[in-house]
Amino acid sequence: MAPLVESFPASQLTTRVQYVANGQRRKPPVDLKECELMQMIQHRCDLDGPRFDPRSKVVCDPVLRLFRKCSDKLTVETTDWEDIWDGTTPTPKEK
Amino acid sequence: MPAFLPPWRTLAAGAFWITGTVIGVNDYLLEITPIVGNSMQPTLSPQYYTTGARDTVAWHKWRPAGPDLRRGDLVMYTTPHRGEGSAVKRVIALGGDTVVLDKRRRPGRDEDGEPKPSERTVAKNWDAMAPKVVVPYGHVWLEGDNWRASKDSNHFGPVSRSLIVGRAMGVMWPPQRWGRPWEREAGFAGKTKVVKGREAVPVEWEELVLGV
Amino acid sequence: MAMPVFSLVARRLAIHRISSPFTALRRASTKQSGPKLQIKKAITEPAPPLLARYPYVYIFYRVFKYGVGFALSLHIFAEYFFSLNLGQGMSMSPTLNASGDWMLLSKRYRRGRDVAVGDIISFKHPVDQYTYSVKRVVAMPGDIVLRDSPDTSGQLIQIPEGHCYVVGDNLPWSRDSRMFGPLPLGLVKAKVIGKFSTSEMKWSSLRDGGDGGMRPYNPDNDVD
Repeated sequence: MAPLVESFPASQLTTRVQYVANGQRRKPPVDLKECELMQMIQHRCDLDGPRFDPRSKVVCDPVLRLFRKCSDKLTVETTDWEDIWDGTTPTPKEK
Repeated sequence: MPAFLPPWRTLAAGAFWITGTVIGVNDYLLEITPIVGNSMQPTLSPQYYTTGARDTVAWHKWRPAGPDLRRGDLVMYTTPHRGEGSAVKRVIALGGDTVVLDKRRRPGRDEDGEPKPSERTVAKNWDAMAPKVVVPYGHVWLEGDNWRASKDSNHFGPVSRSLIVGRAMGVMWPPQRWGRPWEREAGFAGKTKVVKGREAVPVEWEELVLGV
Repeated sequence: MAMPVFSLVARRLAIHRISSPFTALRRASTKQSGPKLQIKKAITEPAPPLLARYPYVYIFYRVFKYGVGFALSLHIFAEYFFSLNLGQGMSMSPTLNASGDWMLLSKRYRRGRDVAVGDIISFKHPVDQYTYSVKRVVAMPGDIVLRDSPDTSGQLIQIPEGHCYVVGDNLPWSRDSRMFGPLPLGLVKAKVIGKFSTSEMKWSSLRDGGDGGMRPYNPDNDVD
């Protein structure tokens, strides 16, 4: 659909995050490790019985998505990046 | 006016009716706006940057992007690159059509031909689309008649019909320009080629659009 | 001129056949001769002659006028302030249930004003201009987000200016930005600020996105 947007893998994230949407460089540079770690939980849900059976219940499995909030104007999804920057489980940022 | 109604109540009632009707009509039926800027020159407001004279256009606002929308129509739409504010451009192609891009309209350079760093990404995207774009279902390809100074589908790609808020009915003012100058002038002759196609609902959207 | 309230009301409804002690008194007092009689008659006649001849037309006109006035007010309120909608389909389970959840929409967030990542919004559909959808915002302009579902392609994209990225909470059942690409903010109509569940008879605020909203990371919530 519109507009065409180029995609890239998580391995390029630290480089790509240094650019804003129109292609210009951010000033000052962004260090994701300094940004607050956030989470969002979505789900994979399905019916455990036939569709129009009123006894069928919706059963949901949670899906954890991780983000780094660097400012009000920059939030970056790091779900696939957190485990490659130093290999340890992320810890909550002290305030 | 009945003598027993205190003036302030009449004023309040009148204010309500006038405001309400104006808002209702403006949202759903008709809006009248001046055309500023030069992206539609010379078709509309040709003297805008010299004498400041501008055309005032009346817009049809009830289902402006319905099945009766035609190639060549002028539409008012909410700009995709800035959610606030609207702009005016011409419909070049409909969903299902193939647009052969006009090289002169490639973004990334300003009116004098100098490189524009703030358009680096849109220029890259244009190159990735070139030489041809198939307009998706439910979208249109918009271009300004002034290829030198127009932010249009060449910048932000095909535009969703949902963003179109009005369809031009005619120029209201000045009286010498009354009518539909965008049709009058020897037919619109832009260099962008369009290969007409059929706007068919893609399989993945059939359930939503057709309710099957 | 001070008017007894009763006759004032009777006048407004043009049901002038209802007589009151005051009207009778006034009628009696106008039995005078000459010009005075004419002036008093004009002032005390309850309704113009036309309306006196067609009282039902007059009542219909009043009802119609108030009906249009009410519709106009309702339109302005619902379009620019708040509205209540019954959703929804399974795309936002478990946050918003397939049926029986009433959503309170605030139109102040039109065009994406003050919308943040994690908010739930209502928008005009980019592919079907006759439909509105409700989904969660996972990215705003300039942000970087997964293009597809987690644990699939792993491809990230940067959202262009003027757009956002919306994904339904029920990932396998939702048709959203993963299918139609970034959503122009100009199509955003409202933010869902709360819901009333008819199954639980309970109101919950969704201003901060509810349980599925964006919040600081908490390791106790880790699900893998």
